[in-house]
Amino acid sequence: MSDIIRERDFYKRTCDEMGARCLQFQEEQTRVRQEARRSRMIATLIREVYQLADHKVAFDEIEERFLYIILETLSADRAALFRHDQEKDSWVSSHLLGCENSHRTKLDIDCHPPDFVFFNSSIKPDSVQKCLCNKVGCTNLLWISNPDSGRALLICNEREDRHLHRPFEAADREMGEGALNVFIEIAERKKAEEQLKTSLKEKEVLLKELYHRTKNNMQVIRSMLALQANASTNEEVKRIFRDTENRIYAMSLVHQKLYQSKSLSSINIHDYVCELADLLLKSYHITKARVSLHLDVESFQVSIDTAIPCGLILNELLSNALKHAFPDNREGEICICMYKKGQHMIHLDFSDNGVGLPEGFECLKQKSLGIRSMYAIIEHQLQGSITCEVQNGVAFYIQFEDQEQYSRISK
Amino acid sequence: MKKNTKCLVVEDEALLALSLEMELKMAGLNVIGIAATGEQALQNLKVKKPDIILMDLRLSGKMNGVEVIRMITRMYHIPVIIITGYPDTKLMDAAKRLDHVRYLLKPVRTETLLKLMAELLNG
Repeated sequence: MSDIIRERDFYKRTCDEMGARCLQFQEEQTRVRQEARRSRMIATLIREVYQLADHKVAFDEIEERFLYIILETLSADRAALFRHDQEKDSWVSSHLLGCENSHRTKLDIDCHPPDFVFFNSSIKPDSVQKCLCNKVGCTNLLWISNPDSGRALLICNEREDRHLHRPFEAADREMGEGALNVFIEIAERKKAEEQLKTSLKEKEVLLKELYHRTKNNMQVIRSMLALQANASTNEEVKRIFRDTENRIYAMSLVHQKLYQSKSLSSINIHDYVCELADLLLKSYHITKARVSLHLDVESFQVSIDTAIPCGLILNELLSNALKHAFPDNREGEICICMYKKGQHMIHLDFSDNGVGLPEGFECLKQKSLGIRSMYAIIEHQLQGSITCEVQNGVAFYIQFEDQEQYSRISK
Repeated sequence: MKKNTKCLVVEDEALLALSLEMELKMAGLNVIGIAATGEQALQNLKVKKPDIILMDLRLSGKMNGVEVIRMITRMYHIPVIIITGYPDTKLMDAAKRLDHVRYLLKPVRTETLLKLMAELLNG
């Protein structure tokens, strides 16, 4: 009989032990599941909020998304982000989520809670916690702040429906801290990006203003020269002034095109050449009916380092042709062909069907500023080449490398 | 400063180089060459042996003016006047420390330039 009792007790003990171990396993399983759930959630938080930060979304939206994920993860009913206001020396909410109409939409917390307050309604509050609870209107909360960054996170979990109520646990605090650090990192990166964008915008505005003022100053110089020329009765003096005015115009037009361009560092050569040629024709009072202009200019972008020398060369070529190639109201035509060969080589072919050059005329031996400066610009500044042909008028074949690769702007 | 002093102009803006050449010639000096790049300047130095170099800091080509000056001061004892539109305090200080290098900011008055050239050449 006693054997049967012993056996019964043995089995009873074994059953109790197994039951306890089962319970232990169940608890362990629940804990591991909760851990896995939290890990998944924090991974989601990092991924989603970082993705948002990568896109061009407003910071408000990132804050809201962040709080939403916090609410979902911790099954909480309210969450708020705070920023430390140094002037008031208090924490001011920058974003709240889960607030009903009865809740305040802005919160000031001036009671200086410690960095972490992990508080459930079952715990007897100390004075700081009481003060925090009164401000928030909740007795079940988690407060995490990072004083270095001046940011804080508040999570409240006090649903009216008590069945859904879940007290905060130590793991919630760890997770909240991790989440806040992720958010601070994003916030600082976003702030730096915004500062960069603002600074870039300011510099663009300044550069535009600079181009604009340069152009305007050049126009003022042109006007002064025009006034001075008008005051003179000497035709030679007037001619010299007009030539200089046109050279200044060729340069000022580059600055005008630059501040009108999107890139602020390059202009479209087709538009520039067309406008410059048109103005020069008007400047010498020559109608298109008498001297027709054939422009075959490829549309490509050039930097200021190419555009200004190009404008000065074209100005000399066109001015010389308009002044000398068609005397005595002779009719004719001028052709300008400009194109890019390969990646960097620019070709400029200029021809007219005028009277040609005087016999024995050698461009390099000329003392006139126009021709000398043109050769200096091509051979010296652009390190290019120029050849001249006299046949049914004059033709110049110029080639040089686009200066973009040697641009001063990139140095 | 002797008449016919041999000057080398290193300036990549063609019109500024032409204008400087004209002013130096009018002052009776001998402009032995105009270089637009650092490489051309060094080539000119080797072949034409100038007495003085007038030089911009921003040049086209692969070398900038500072690199060229470093090479000149290392290899030759020729005075250099830096003529530039970009005020750079570090460079100004460095130039002050070098015996044969002086610094002028654009726009430069011809009289100022000639006076400085004379000071450098006459020691």
